Amino acid sequence: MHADISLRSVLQKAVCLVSLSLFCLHSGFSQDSLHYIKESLYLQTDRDLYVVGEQVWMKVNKLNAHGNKPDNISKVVYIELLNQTGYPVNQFKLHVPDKSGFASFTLSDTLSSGNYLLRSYTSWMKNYPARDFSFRTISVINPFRSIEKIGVQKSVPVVESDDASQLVSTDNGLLLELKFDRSSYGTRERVQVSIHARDSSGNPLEADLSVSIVRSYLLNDQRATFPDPVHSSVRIEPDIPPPYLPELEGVVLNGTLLNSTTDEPIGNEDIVLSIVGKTARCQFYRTNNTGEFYFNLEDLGVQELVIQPLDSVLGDYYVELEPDFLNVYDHPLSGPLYLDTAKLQALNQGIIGMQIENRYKAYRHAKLAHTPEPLECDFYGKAEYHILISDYIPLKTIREVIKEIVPMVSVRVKDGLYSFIVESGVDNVNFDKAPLVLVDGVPFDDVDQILNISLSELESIEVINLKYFLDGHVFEGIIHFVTVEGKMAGLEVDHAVFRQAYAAISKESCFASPVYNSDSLKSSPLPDFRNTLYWNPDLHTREDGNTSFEFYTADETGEYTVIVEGISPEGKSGFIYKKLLVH
Amino acid sequence: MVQIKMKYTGILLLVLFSLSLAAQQTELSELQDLYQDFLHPSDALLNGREYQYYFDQRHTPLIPKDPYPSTSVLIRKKLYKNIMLKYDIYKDLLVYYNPNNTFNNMIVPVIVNSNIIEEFTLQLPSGQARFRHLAFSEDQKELLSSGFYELVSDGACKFIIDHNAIKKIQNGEVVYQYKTERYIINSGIVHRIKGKKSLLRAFSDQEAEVNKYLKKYRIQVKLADKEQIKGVIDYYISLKHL
Repeated sequence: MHADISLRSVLQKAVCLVSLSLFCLHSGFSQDSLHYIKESLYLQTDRDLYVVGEQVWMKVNKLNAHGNKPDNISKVVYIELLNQTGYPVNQFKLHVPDKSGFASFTLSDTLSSGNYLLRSYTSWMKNYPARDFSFRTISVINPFRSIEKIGVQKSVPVVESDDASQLVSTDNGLLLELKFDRSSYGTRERVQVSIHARDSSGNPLEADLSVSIVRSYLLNDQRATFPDPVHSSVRIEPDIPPPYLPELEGVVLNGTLLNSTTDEPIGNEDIVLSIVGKTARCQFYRTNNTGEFYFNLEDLGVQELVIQPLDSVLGDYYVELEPDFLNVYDHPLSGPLYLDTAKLQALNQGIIGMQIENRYKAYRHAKLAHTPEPLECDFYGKAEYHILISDYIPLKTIREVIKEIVPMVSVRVKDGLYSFIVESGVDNVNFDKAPLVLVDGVPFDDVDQILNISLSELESIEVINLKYFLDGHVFEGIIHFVTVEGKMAGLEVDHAVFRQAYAAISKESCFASPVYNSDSLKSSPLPDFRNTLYWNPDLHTREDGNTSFEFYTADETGEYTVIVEGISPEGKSGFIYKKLLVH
Repeated sequence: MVQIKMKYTGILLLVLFSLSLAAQQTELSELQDLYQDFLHPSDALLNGREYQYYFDQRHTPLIPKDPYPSTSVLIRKKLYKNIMLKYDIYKDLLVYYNPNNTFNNMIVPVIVNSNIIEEFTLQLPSGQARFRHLAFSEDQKELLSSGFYELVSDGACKFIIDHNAIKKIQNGEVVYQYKTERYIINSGIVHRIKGKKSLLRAFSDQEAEVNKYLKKYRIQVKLADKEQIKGVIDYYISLKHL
């Protein structure tokens, strides 16, 4: 009895102590928990060896670095292709709204043959050493340039497993099984593949997989480099904002407003970011004490950005944008490329395949339906008045249009200067302040220039005759002039205004492969010499661990390899290769 | 003794697990706060045009009629709690009252830009209601138009309520008569739920079972509250293993 009570008391104390210390530790987490949030990425490609002019297909899984479980914190992933000296030869930003994203890029024919390093990271990961980023080595052959520098090594015989069709399977908790519907296939034939995912105890697993089917000689043994869960211990200091913010929506555009005479930062100044185009997408920001500003950019493709102070009186300034990509390369570089002597003949076939494919794929892909572009919306939503110029009888000037057609807006001349006046929709009294005037989405207050735009160049005018509140500002009405081309109709902006093309987020790309499901398609004269037969970065096993897919073989016979790799929601990863013979 | 050991080990594991979970949630929330502080330092809700009153205050189409503190809105993954929101059911607009946004000592109500709202909650006499801006496909548009709907049940089988108002003249005055319409979206097909018949039509593949359930729990579909209808949906989902 006494022993029990004493044991209970000891255990109670132990629990209290442990809980207390955990609580203290947890409080510590709360105070400077930014130390502990860490992301990592898992980068996959369709194969390892490419010929210049080919597309590299890739998938990226976003993970929580603690446990490598799929996570969805950052929405933008930075991808770079680094050459043997660590110099980036291709860079792009990928929008990844979900736990994984897909991308592709074409290898320029200016690249030399050799090994290249694919490096990926998020903005938040830039706060940590570059060696914690995700890497993958790919090899590139440029047959149009001298390949003397490439080393050649003697072929090493591969030890076949009992199952001759099974090359290799590695797991980190996720076991994958592959089954074909037949043992061998002819050209342009349908192949059905079923996949089963399970854990080491045999329980079925839901897994997020990528599948590629490629010519076997385009693979090497450098695959499946899953991120190491043990990362650098370097931490962000508490109470000091980290130098790089997480990108929870789109790209964070960070820069500084500076005085062009003194180079001193201009703090507490209202500035506006706009994008030249038919849709108004303005964002406003008040620079902090050190002149810094932050904008969120979710647009796709190359956009023409304009950054300017809201008050046009400020003329003595310039804008400096921070670079998007990290110019630090403190990680091992890719080593030299050695080609296997046994593969040289086959590689030659791959090079021919690439040239034929590049010549003819345009004809094939032209037949595929395009995904419609998402509809864009003005930041102010639907305008109170939308005047389409072509709906009215031709007039001579914009001033005439405003007087005769546009409601709630008038032009005033004072001391030889023109200005717009908007009548409030609430009390039908003119607003005191000038409205926000936009031309193709860009704030522009030179009314003289606007009135001189040729009517043939003007498409529409939109008016909001209500107070508009945005990012801490109140605008007494908005007038938006939209031109036919959406390029500001040659208006001259102040020389100090920051206006430049900016490569925003790249679109996710879809792999397209031909379908030979009829005799006419099967006998089509269009040659099909794809080196990558199939790429599906978005294949998921169901609760029962099963899934399947199908694809069609091409015109070339020989050995292909099916590669499946992926990760489960619990962070279990694995991959499998299996041979596929086309006779 | 073994039992005591197990009990305390259990408690210890529970403490560890809850602390770890809490730490993870705090980490994410702090990251979001950090982001918001830099990217959207101003009041994110003050994003829209001023709201014009177009009605007599005695016959308002704004709900709730009285301000409740439990109102909240989710914008860019950030939840703004205890703010004054009203929903104009006639014009389908969310109106925000910021006590600091005044003109002539009067709060200027602002229509929150529907593009940025992920969802908002209102405390209605029928209980707390969660609203989301929903867009519908062409074939669904016959019954429903894009706008805010109360989302009672999400997932494979959705249960939504349209809160709206009909403009009428009563005794020479313009009034906005409040009404609700219930819809079930099953396998992409929209069903307006008026009574038992329409409810059974929405679950035609399990009609007999659902009918039994209605009888067992004596649910009168016409008069049933949203929780009762939600119960029917949950039962249907359990039948279908969705």
